[in-house]
Amino acid sequence: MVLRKLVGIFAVTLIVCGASFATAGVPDLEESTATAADAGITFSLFCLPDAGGSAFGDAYLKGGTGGAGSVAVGADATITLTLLDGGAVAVSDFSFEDMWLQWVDESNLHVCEGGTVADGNTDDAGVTTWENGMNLGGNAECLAQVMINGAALTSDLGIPLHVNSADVDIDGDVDLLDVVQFSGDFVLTPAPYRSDFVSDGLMKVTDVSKMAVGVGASCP
Amino acid sequence: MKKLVVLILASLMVASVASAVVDPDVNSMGIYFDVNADVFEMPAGPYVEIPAYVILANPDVSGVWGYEFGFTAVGNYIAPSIELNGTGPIDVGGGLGNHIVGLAAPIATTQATILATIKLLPMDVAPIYYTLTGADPNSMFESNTPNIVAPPGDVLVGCGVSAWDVELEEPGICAMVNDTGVIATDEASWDSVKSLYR
Repeated sequence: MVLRKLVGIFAVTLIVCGASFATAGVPDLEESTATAADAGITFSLFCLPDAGGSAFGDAYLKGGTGGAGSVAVGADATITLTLLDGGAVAVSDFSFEDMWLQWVDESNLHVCEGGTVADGNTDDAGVTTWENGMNLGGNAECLAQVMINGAALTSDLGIPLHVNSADVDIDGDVDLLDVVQFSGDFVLTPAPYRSDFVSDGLMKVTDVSKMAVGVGASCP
Repeated sequence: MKKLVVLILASLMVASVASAVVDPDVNSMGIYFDVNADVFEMPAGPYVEIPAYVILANPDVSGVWGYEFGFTAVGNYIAPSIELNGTGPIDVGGGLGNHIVGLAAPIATTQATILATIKLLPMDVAPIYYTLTGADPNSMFESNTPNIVAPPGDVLVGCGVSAWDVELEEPGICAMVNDTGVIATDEASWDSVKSLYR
């Protein structure tokens, strides 16, 4: 009788340990977390297909100060991912190519290959970041989710990171066709988000400057 | 020898005065007939093209990533045109006389930074009057004066104008050909107006 109980306990212990061993080093979508440097705001990030757009630290507050005299407001959208396994242990040296950003609605977005991957592999603490400019065209006004091997983190719904690009016609490069569409947007009120590059809700010469910088950019 | 020294000094003084920017205000935009922002009135014969420079005087920014302004030229002339300064200018202003320009690379500023060159061909010796205004639409809320974009490329800076009509509270005639009327260079900015009442 005692022997049977001991065997049972031993078997259960084996199963539990086996399960823990199986998840060790495997990213857990619930345990892992991703946060933006400035919490609680909706960001707007200007991107170019050649990654020559804004760094995450040079993002804007979506919509600026608002109102008739709205001005752009800078914001830090740098994303920090902490990758943990099922035992809340850091997953180190996880490949940057297997971690990327993906928007809930990408119907107006052109993502160049590998254009939204993390800046580098995770470190010993399981941490990696998104700081550098992304390779993007088009625009998205929805939550951005951190994807791990094709699956979104479940620890939160996503990061309110809206993006737009001088690639207004969403074809992966910035050329005269984009300038034509941008020029048409310039006279519209309210400002179409796809061309409101400094995200203050208004079309201004500052947006024109961004377009001029972007001409000629294309996906790698 | 003494006479030679005096002549050299005198010519140096004349040269330095002649090259001085006539508008003392910071970030003030105007139209001039020389690249040193010193000449705003000049005689001109018919059928000879006149270049007039849109110049940002005394900028306190290191570079100009974009600029916007409007202008009118009233008189008897033909073939007006404009050359926009800067690398890869994109103009969404909609036509000659209204310019909202972004640049692919900044113009490095000097005391007299040339933003554009307006050219026209007078048909006679009658006066031609130039006025520099803000662009339409104006990127600065409730402004009617020009603006520039400062480094790092998304900072909007409002500019004054070299001539201001105090009565009408709007930019006035800032340059003229074949006339020597009064150009309101004194009250060129809000700071200058305030200084009159200190």
